[in-house]
Amino acid sequence: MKTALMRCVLAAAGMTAAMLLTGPGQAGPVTTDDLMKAQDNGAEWLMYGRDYRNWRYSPLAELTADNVAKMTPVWSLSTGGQFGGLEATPLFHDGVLYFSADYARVFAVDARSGRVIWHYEPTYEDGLNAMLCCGPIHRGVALKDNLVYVAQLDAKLEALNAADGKVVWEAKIDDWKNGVTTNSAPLVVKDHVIIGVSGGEYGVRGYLKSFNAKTGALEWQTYTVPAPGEAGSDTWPKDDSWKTGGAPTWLTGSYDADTNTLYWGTGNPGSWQSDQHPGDNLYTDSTLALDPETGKMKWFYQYTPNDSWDYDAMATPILIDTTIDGKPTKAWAVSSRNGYFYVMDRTNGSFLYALQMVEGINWTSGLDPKTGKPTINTAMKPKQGAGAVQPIIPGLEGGTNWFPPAYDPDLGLFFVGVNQWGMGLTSWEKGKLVYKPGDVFMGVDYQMYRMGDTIGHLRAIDIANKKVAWDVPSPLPLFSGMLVTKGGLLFTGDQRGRFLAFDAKTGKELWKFQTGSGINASPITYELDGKQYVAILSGLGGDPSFYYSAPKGGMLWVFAVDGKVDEGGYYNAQVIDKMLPTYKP
Amino acid sequence: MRPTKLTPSALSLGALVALLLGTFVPGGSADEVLTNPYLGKPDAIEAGKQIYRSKCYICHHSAGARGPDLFATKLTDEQFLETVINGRKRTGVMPAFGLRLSPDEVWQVHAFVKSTDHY
Repeated sequence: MKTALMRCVLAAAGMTAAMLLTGPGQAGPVTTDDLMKAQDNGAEWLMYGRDYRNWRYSPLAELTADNVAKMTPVWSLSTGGQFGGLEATPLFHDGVLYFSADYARVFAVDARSGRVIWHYEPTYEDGLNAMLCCGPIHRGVALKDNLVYVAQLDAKLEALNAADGKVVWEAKIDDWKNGVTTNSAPLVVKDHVIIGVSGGEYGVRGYLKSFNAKTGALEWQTYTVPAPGEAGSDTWPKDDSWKTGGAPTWLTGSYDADTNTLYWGTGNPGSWQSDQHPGDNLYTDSTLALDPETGKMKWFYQYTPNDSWDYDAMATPILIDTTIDGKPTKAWAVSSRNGYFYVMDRTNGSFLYALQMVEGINWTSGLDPKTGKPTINTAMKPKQGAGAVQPIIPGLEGGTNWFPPAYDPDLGLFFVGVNQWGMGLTSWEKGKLVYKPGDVFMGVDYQMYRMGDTIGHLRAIDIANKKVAWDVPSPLPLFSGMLVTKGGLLFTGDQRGRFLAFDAKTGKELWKFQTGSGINASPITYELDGKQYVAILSGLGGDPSFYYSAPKGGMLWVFAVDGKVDEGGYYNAQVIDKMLPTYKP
Repeated sequence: MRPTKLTPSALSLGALVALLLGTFVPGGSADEVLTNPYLGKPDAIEAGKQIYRSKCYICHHSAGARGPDLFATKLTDEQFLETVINGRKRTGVMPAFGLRLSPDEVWQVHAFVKSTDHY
């Protein structure tokens, strides 16, 4: 077939070029060693957060504050479909970009020409959209060996052949009709494909699963809500609420190879009627440390006990080695939905310090300076049938949310989008919320509020010195991921559709480009044929589309300074033979 | 009197298809037009409110959000029923609730949204 021939030629050319310009281990299958050394591989982007620490920091330095103003689009690609919103971080390996669009449609795109090599379309049964609290969005795929792993929205894990997108194996994660869906990029650690689940608003009992990378066999499952008798079950009442306890694991985790420890965040408890399940509700709103071989929990840290406010702690823990109060420290950092920024000891889960990110936090009067445990303001906890509680700060969309932060080790700065907004919550009358698989299981009516003219804050936090280095306000909420580079640039997008470059040291805006639809996805950078490129998906969707109407979209944009695109006969418009056959007399 | 709950299994598939298809023949006579038999009935409205809270609110909120404001719907009764049962595949976002809500339950929701101007 013509396409296959073109692909072979392209692959051969690509591989030759790749071998000339880049180091070993970058062509062909992605190995465990490749993943373990991803942070040193400047040319490629092999996993969701670039490396297992989730820094989203690239060692590429061709683009700097001096030349980024000259950056222009090199090519773009429409992802078509139903414009359900794009939230993915693309991957780049061996000259090919791999990413998921809305509905977990997977694309493999040749980065030299912008040509789609293959794409994979899941087929879904009727009714799935009812299980997607926040739209048919999807956050990315994973690479290992010759496979591309995608967790489809209907809780099926597919291993696709990286060369042609054909399904090599499929593993059922769960039955989506019970409200369990999946939309995060799996994390591959050695031969474990580790995936978390969504469904915290549907009364699921959260868990992590690990599947064998080669065969798809289930290796382990660790629930994040204990059953009666299991450790932590005394933080739940002695009834059936643990079965619908939530604690979903809906964002990609991190991994520390030195200690062979997996770090994963958990979300809010089910239901939102916290007085229906008194107790701290472990392990909701926590960061867990686990053994990736067995799934066994090593320890945990809970940020918000008996959460009444949807303050998921699903955030990817960013693993940082730093110096705090003069002491070398192995830490993790998260900025939380609950409005605080935490720096924690990743060797044992103990609290180091926290910074208040949001003004006017009122669900708590403050955190214990030693343990970080919040003193709860009980007046801000809605009670069943007792009327609206408002304004609660921060609102349920959070002082920050799922969109990934970035960390720059040269500057010691953590870059995150912070949002300043509030909410009102009204808990239903007692007895009105009845669990039914697949139904929304919240029991609370909610209303988000603007609390002023400024919502978003692009903020740089000096980790070692425990302070904010700079802050750039934005009228709209920020809901896009960060990328920081050795060249001193911070890239992110906004709801107005602008893709932006800032000076990472000062926060000065250096460049922008209007992509035509809101940006909810995360940028990457890669090197191809000696040139640095930056790529971003643009397409408003997910939670921001609840609050702002704007043109929907679905585009992949690739930028560079004097970048190259090889159109030479390769293009995405394929003739439909039946409609336009070659004339034969 | 509480409306009888008809589950899709109770209503045979053939009957359901006939019920739905029969209403959408363009130019069909007035005899064939489906209307909501529960409009204005308090029991149905209360039942419909509970269904709205647990299945519709997350997208349609108090008066429209990701989904349009159902309390201001200009759909006919039968269009409302068809949309909820079959979803809107063209736009792709409104899910098909036909396997999870019976026609009677959809009529209850409809009775609720017709009875007030917001949740």
